[in-house]
Amino acid sequence: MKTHPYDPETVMSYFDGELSSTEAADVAAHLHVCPDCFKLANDFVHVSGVLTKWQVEILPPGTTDAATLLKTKGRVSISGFFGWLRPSNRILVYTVAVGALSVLLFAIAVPNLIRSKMAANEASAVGSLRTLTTATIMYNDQYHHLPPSLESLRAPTYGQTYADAANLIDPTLASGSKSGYRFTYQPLGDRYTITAEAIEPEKSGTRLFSTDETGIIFSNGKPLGGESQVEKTSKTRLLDLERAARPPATMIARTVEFSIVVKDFARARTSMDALLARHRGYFAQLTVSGDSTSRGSLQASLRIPVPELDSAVTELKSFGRVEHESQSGEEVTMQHADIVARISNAREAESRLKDMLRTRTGKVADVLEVEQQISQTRGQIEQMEAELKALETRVDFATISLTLSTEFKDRVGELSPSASTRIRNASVSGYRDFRETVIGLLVWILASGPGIVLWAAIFTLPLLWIWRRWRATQNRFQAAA
Amino acid sequence: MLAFSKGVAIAFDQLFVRYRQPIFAFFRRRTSDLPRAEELTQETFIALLRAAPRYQPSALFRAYLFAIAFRILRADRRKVTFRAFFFGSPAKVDLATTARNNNDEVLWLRQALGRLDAVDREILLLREFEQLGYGEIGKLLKLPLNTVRSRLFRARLALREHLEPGPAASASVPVGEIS
Repeated sequence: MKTHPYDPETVMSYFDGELSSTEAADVAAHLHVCPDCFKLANDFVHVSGVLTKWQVEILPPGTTDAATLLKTKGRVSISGFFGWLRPSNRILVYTVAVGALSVLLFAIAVPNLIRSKMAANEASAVGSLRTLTTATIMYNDQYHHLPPSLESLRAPTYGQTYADAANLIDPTLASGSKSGYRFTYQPLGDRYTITAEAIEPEKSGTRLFSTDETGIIFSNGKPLGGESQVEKTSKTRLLDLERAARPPATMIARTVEFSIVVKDFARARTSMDALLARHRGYFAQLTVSGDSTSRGSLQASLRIPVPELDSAVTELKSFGRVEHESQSGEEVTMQHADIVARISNAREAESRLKDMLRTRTGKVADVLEVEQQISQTRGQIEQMEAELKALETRVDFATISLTLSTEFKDRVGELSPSASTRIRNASVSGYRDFRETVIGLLVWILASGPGIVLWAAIFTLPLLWIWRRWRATQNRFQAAA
Repeated sequence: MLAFSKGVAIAFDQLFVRYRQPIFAFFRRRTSDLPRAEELTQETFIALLRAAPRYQPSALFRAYLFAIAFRILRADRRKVTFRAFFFGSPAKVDLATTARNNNDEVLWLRQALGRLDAVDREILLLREFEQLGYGEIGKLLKLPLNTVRSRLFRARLALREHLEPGPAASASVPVGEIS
């Protein structure tokens, strides 16, 4: 294989006069002895020779002359309006012009944007006030007193709703600020006021909104567009509620049901004992069945003090996988008040009977009858006191009905379904999946199909037109080249 | 040019006489429209007139002048493409009907050139017709010197191959503007 001291591009550079005199002399000497490189150089000469045959017309003498150009120098613009500037300055001017235009557009657009944003915030504030009015009514209906704060209308962090977390408004609104407005709630006995003021005046909103127990929304102290139907309804409802008697504080007996699957039954059992000791609870009932070490199950009724309930439930959940959970709360306020009233009446009756026995004299039979009455009343009082105590215990101690089972672990040698059963089950499952897929597809086509067709019709034609236009332009220039 | 930049008006006459035909040829080989080539030639000299007060002799005047011509050609191509896209194609003039040497060999050459890569072709034309050096071409097209050399080599070899088979082999290639 023959090697050349110079690559072909160097030979070409020699041909173009791009080499230094020393290099050029060396390459020239090489060309004399190397027929390949000589042929390559000849090819370049040939190509140049062919190219020189492409001559163009001579520019007609009268077309343009220097004098005319000198005269037209100041008149002819070669680069539009800013042609008189240097190219670098021209870019600067273009940039400044575009910048100024952008600033102008910005100056026009931003106030409109801020105005529309403020209008949206104000509309949102009015909507929020209506929501708060409705929530307050519902709270009053449920708990028989006005909410102490907006926070008490929020959703509970866990479990069931209660007086401090009634789950009537969204968390954002409960935090007191939403969409550029700050909401202030002030309960005053049976009345309340809610005000909504812009967090950033003149930026997030301009107007001050307020409402009260009547449900009417005021904008800067004036009723906002008259009373709406909702406000009228709210007003009537509130007046009705005001007429209603106020029962005593709410008493709720809470019950929680759990079904938990654990991996280690023995460990879960030990943890449960520790949990009860820690939360000052106790087993109301306990049934353990099966192998207590591996595949046991447990049914228990735990009594936990209500303040400890949330943390106890959280700990119980950490025992394993929760398969079922339900919570309920039974309001026993009226039942409690009824027992208290009955006890009071019974005591008064007992007191009167004792007075009668002490102050009046009569036949022995009458005395015995009074004593029997006193004894019966005392029995009733004690029975009712026991009921009252049980009821208060139900309120003070929540009941957790717990079912604890061990996670199923298959073992070698255990019976599994027969092959035919498994095939049948698989085919049923497959058929069900197929049917659901087909139905889902049909539902999707029926729901989204018309919209997709419409959008496709809107966009296809312009895009097709632009594409054809662009291709035509490209083809024309390629053909020209 | 230095004399003209210092206010000697007659110096421009000499520049104009010396370079009007090369500049016209530069545009004529790259446009299919004779009046357009004339206009672009005129615009090049007007641009030269306007740039004269700022002229610094950092390179050969020839390279400086062709750099102006190249920028004007590029701006013109942008305008033509823009107009063609939005307002339709301008009337085309076939170079074959206006070229001075409208013989088969030139047509064949133009067809062969048309088959080259656009940048390779531009480098080849700048080297062969405008006689610019590798460095000047690189500066004009914003390419490294080695790239210019490689592309020029490739263009020459490709052109040699395209010229070899004979005029009948690529008769279907259209003749028109080299863009």
